[in-house]
Amino acid sequence: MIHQGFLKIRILAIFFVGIFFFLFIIGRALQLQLIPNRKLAELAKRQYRTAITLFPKRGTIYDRNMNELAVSRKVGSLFANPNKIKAPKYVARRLSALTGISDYKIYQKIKSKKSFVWIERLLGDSVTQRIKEHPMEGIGILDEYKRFYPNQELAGQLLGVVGIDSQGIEGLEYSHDDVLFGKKSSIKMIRDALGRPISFDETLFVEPQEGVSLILSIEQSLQFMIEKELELAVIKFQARRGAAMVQDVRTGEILAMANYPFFNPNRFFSGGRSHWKNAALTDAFEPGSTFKVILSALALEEGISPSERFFCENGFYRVNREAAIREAENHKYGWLSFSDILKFSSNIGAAKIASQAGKIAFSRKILEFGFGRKTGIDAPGESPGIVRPYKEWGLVDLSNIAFGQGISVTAIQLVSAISAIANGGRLMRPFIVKKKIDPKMGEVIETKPQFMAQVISPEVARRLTRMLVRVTEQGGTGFTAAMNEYKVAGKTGTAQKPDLQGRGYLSDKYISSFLGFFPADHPHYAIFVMIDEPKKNYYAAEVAAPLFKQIAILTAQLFPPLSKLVSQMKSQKKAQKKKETDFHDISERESAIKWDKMPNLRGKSMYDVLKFGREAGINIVVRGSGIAVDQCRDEGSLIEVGQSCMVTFKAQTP
Amino acid sequence: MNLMKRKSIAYRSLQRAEHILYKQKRSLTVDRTAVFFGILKLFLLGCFLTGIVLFYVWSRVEVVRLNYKILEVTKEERRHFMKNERLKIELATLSSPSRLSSMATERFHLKNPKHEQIIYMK
Repeated sequence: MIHQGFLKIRILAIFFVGIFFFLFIIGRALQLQLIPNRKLAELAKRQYRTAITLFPKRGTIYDRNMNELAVSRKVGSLFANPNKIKAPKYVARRLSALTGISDYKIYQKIKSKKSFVWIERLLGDSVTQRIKEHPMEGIGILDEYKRFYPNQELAGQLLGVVGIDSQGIEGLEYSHDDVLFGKKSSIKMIRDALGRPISFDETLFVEPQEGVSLILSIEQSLQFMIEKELELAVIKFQARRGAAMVQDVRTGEILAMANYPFFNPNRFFSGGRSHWKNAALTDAFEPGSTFKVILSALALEEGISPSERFFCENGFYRVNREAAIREAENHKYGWLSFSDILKFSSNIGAAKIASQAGKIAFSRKILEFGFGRKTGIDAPGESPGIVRPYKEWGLVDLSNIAFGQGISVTAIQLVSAISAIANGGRLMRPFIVKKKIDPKMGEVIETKPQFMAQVISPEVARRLTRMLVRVTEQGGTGFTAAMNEYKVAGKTGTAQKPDLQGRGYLSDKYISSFLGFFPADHPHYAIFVMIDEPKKNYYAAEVAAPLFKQIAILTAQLFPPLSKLVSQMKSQKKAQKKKETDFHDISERESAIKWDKMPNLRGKSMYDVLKFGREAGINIVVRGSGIAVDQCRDEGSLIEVGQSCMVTFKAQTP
Repeated sequence: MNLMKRKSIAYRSLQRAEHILYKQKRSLTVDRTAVFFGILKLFLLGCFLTGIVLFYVWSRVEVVRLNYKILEVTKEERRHFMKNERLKIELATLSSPSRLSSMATERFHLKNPKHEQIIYMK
């Protein structure tokens, strides 16, 4: 028999233990519910909330004439909610048939326990359409932006590429990613106990902020034609690669920047990653004789006259016991004037000029022209090149640097330096992004040309230009770069490539280049061309100079220098005056009589109409483009020299 | 007790008063116009209230209908916008210099103009 007192104690003990646990549970519940706890709140949120990040439309990249170079547009991305898929194997098979992706790959993704998985992103329009036509439980399409480059490989390295989440990873896309990208937006959705999102259609109304658009200084047509010429030259000389660049000397803006082999950003994973880089900015190389231009600028500034003569040692000059300099192509020059040293590209003459000017002055001038540091161009990956401090220069180094060995420079540094000479000694910062357009406010931010330094006096620049014009004259190394229409100032460069494994230079590998500008009397455009490791021929006069000429012709056609327009206008006015006054010439009178009445211009091309205008001496005002459909005066009506006539053109539709 | 007494006295006096009225046998006149207007007022009030309720219901239905319409139009607008974007890219691709150049030379057998053939327009 249990003692009653003991029983009471036991009951009480159990009662108090029960009370204690009850109070503990109540206390814990109060603690969880009433006292804020960030960690627990996060855990709860994760259970009933889901967020989808929406990427904004990336800003468009245009050329200087508003032609699209890089555009984003929405395409479908395939996602799944595996929690809602009842027969994953069947769904995987069906999706595989619709998309062409292997069913194993799809199955691996949709068998997970997650509530959201991407199956394939940035699909083609036809695939998206097929999936929309065959809806499946737990499978959906979400719109995402994809980058398109409509011109394929045009300026590929310069534009760069974007990744799958629209983030810039190379080129201008990378360097201007912060403005091009826009602002992400995230839609938060509450999901039910089964993980189903509630109010999914919210995606329709939440638009992330579009990125800023860029207008480049590049001209699409010029870029294309230069790329084509560069490709032809590289193939013709069986070279490893090539680069070409055109810069407006007055502002510093880059009109074209081409690299070969090309790179197509639409298919950036195919082909080597080495093709991605913009070699015109990233690769430093020994410039060779083009660097004599910098030495010549210094020499003129130091008071050496272009007619001052130097003995060129008949082709062999021993600098010290170990080193000797030879001329290219084994030329044996005797006495040459400073101007001829540049014209014939004498290495020995250049070395002598450098030693006369001194290494401190030469080093200072090199740095003043912007070598050894980045130019500050608004494109990524620029290399500063290598300019060793003058204290480390020996006599051999000074002589070598005089003709462009023992120093590393980039293409953009060279073109900026020659632009400074063409621009009266004013060094401008090179730039590519001409304008930025904010899509929200419509605000346009224009890049202002930035003056960096007065590197030489305008007088020195003029004298140096005259010397550089002689290089492209008969007998000069750059004669093949000369144009019929304009005077060209420039310098050839045939540089041996250094042996990166051992010492010295490789005997069979060269960089052939040409650096110049035109028109020499009113400089507008500076051009640099470079052909790396040409096999068939390596002399710049035969490899790079003709390419320079081609590029200069194309540039002049698309951007006619002012002098050309003025001369054309003058000749037109002259022809008109002649028609008005000169009636002694029978053929002229006949020509005037020929166009005394208005012909039927309808159906004629713009070229024919303008030709008629020139011949008849009347001013044609063009409206529209295509084929002439309307003219201001009727056929057969009398016309007089100097009259204006509006002709309307319309594009022909097939 | 007093209270009970007082209540019964009051009740009796009331009965007596009614009795007097009936005894007089005077006809009870009813103002029909007032009744009519009263009913009319009630009817109008009823109609008004029903109208308000119906209007409210109609407005809600209309809001929902218009919302659906806005949604549909928005979707339509987005469809057109996306089509427009696609066509813009197509246009840019079709008018790319490389395509135009190859078409000009291969299909139409055109040649690059010589420098002197180019006429610059104002």
